[in-house]
Amino acid sequence: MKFFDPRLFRFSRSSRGFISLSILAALTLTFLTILQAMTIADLVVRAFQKREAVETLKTSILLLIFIFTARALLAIASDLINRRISARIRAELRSLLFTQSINKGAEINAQFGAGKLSLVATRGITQLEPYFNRFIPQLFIALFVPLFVGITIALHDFLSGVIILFTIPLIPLFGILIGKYTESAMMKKWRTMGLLSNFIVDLFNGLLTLKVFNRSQKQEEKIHIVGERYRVETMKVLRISFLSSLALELIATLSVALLAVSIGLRLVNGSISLNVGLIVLLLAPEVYWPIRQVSALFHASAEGVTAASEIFDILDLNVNLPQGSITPPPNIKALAWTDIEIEYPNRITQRISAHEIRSGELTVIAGPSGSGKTTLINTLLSLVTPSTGVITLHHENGHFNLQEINREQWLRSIAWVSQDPQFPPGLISQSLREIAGDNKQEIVAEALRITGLHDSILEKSLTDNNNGISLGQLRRLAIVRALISQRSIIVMDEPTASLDQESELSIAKHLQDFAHKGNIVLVVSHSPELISLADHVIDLNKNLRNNPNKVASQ
Amino acid sequence: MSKRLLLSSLLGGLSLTMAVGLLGSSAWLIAMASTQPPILVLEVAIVSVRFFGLSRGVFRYGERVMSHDAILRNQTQLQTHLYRGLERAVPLKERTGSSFFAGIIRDVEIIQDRWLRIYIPWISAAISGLAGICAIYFLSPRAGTLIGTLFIASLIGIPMLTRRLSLHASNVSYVDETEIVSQISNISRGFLEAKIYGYSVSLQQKLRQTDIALARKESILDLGSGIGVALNILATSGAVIIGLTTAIHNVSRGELGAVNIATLTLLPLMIFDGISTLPSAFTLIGRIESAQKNIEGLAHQTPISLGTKIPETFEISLNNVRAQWGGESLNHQPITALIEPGTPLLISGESGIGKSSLALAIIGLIPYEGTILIGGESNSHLACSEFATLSLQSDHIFNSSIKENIRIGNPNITDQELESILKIVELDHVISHLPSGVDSVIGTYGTQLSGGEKQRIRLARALVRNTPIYILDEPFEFLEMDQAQRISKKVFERLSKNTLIVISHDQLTIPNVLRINLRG
Repeated sequence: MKFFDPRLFRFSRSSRGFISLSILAALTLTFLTILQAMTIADLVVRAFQKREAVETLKTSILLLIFIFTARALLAIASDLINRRISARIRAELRSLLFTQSINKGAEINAQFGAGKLSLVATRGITQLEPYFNRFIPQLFIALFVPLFVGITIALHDFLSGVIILFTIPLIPLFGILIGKYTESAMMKKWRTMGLLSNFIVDLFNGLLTLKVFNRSQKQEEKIHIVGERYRVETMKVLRISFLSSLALELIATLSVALLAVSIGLRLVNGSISLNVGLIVLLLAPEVYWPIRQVSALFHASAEGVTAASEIFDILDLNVNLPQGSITPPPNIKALAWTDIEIEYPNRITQRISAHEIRSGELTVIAGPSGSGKTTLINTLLSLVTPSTGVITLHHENGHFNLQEINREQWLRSIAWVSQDPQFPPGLISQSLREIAGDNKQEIVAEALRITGLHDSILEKSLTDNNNGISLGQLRRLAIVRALISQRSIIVMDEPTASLDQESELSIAKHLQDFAHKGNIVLVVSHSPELISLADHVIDLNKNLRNNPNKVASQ
Repeated sequence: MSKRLLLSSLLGGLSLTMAVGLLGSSAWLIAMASTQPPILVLEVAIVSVRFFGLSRGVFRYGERVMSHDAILRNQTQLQTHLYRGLERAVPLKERTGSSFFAGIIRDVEIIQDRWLRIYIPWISAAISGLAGICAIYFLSPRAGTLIGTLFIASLIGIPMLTRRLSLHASNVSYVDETEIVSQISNISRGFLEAKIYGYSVSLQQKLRQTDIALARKESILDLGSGIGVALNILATSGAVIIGLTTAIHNVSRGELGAVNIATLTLLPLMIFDGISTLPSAFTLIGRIESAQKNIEGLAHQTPISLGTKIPETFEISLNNVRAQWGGESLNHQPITALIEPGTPLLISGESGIGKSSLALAIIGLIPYEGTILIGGESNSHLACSEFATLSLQSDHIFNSSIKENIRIGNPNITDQELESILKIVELDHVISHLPSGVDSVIGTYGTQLSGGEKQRIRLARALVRNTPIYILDEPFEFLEMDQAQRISKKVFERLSKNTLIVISHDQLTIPNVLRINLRG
């Protein structure tokens, strides 16, 4: 099992200052631990062997109080420092994941599945925290404490130093051996555990469906069975890790016992002093304990490293979408594409035949599901680059290849309506105002009228799950947003699905008007209303059809 | 409360007690050895040092295995309990997105910390501390009384103080965490729109702010736990000094052998060790309580009672029906209709008016006003889901194979039946292009299907049930017109003798159909 993912430290620049502080705290703690042992040994020896009274011990007692107080303060400080480190790294990683999802969301979803990103950015990052809070600081402590404490012991009693030198490597050695032996079993079980826990979430998500299909009560038993299997699998993993930490603890205990026996025997001989004996007794566990502790935190580290590698798989996903630097020209006359092919992992290559859409026409794309409508839109939005074929923008004075255009600017010149619209959380009036601009209430009011929404919707607030507002209203709002953005290219994916015919007609008419004013309007739809008003219907399964009314008149 | 948890607390206490014994006996051993006695005198101490040393690890192993096992059992039990509660209560009015259920699972996990990180360590610390204090009392009653008082004060006072210092921040940090989860799920679904409509920067700032707010609250938690740890260190130093000075005092008065000075000085170091993990655990209480509250709210949803009868005939009669949510009827004209086998009903109307709610009311899953009779019997007496199939637009596509997803409709379906249904919904072609065919895993972590493909899986799942009554909610949504026409023809042919209600905003072509337009 790996302890680090070196990539983690690439992203932790902002916390380097705190990491040095954390190291400093570990060093100070070492120093205080040694001093404490020496002071206690000194006090006991003077009280026991020299029979000194409490008064003469006062200075040493005060020193002891000072040491404990310093340790107390250090405890507060190091907790705060470690948390600061993990909080910074957490915020940094989340921010990076955010940027990555904004820029490459489509590829991430295609490659890792739709739920992956939010899983990694929430659970994954939460699992990383104990790694930074507890594991990494413990690693520093395991590095310094045994080293300095060991040297201190050796300076007091050479023989004990030698014993330590020979026994200490046993712990990491056995740690690695046990780790090697159990690694593949552990990894396999981790995976099973992940699957089982996903299964339970999935079952809860499908609860209503199961109930409607009269299967929900049977699944209750299944939750129990899967929960039991999850427990058994988890316990297998935990037993391995607890057993290995027991093994390491026993090695540590035996080593301390070896030291204690040798010290005891030599004390009986009178070849060492009680003071030295006590110092070694108090310090010996400090040599072994931190190293053992590191492997006890194996759990935190294994989870952390797994989570980290998932995060970096997403962050390092480097899909080099070729893009240019040209600002999209203002008056685009047409968008045309040659026959194009788009390759997806695990799916058949999508082929789309050559077509052209022109400004001033309402274009509707039809075709059965899976025929490439969404792919075509993604391609036109420049989110996907075709492996063969070109998309060309025609404007008044010539033409550009879409790949020459700056993607950010291109996206921001298109009004887009998706099948599953999303809005920023907050007041609807506020988010619409940000798109329409101030003092554009009439535009908003008109768009609301066209889509059949009531003014009162503006006062509603969208929460993060878009609760409190129906899917139909949300789709209408998405159309409102596209209309008020006043962009000259509109692209819509099934905008009128699940709307009533009246609204559908009103929206379709408006889109037709808008197109006839010289704008580009591209709509994926099965709606007969939209198709009947279209100037141009593209059937992705067939050839270009130029007389749309024939298609629509069924 | 489970026996396993108590037993693991006991094992944890024993493990810590062994650590106390180890330090105490080895201190005595070394002090005694320095007086150079005959080696036989040391023999008992040497044996007990070994015993304490080895048994500490073994008890600890036992405690960890036992407690984690018990916790996982509890977790399963709680999940099953919640599932049962929610199963009775669904459909819930709101809050049923996937992040809502992920939140439930997270709450169940958080609640387990109550035993694992709070009760078990506290009981262990109490057992081992008291055992150590008994040993001290045996050597010096005065030291035992003093250190005992200090120990009990710390054992109770320190966790209480940490809890008090951090309760608010702990509660609020739970809220922040929940907020971050939903912000992220929003971003991962809406990244493209955020970019196109230019609000990605403000979303990112908001996420950062919540992260910073969370970090600030966590600092308060850490300060609370840091103060607790610091107080415990100070209490330990007090106890060490009490042990030392009392021992000197007792020795000077001849009440105690001088060799015990080492033991009395060192034992307190370990006695207070059990308390050191408690402060950070007690900062979790606010989180645990918040999670508990959430879960309790869910488990006590009022369920709607379902009947058990099966009617003789399957005509549906609706008389002035409006579905209700939370005791309030929906805002449309009440609906009255008689649907007999062979004469389907098509309900249309604008979105959000309550068509799907009406469907849920007909199969008895939500309350309604008016009367709904099936075969002359009120549907509240009937086990509707056994003889009626409702296919909803929002039906969940499970994260398993296509076959398993369809088999939810009918677990006993044969391969031939499955094949013929797949042909009806025209999925046979799609499936032949998937890597593992009908066994390909779909859903959140599997192959992503298009909206139309998912819809056809829902349809297939409904068709394999072969029930006398069918209610199809937007069955041809997201299908291209030609395909929708073809599939709908086959579907209506297949269901021509069933009692059928179709909900659609489209005017579908259905033979013999009655039409109702739902209006506000």
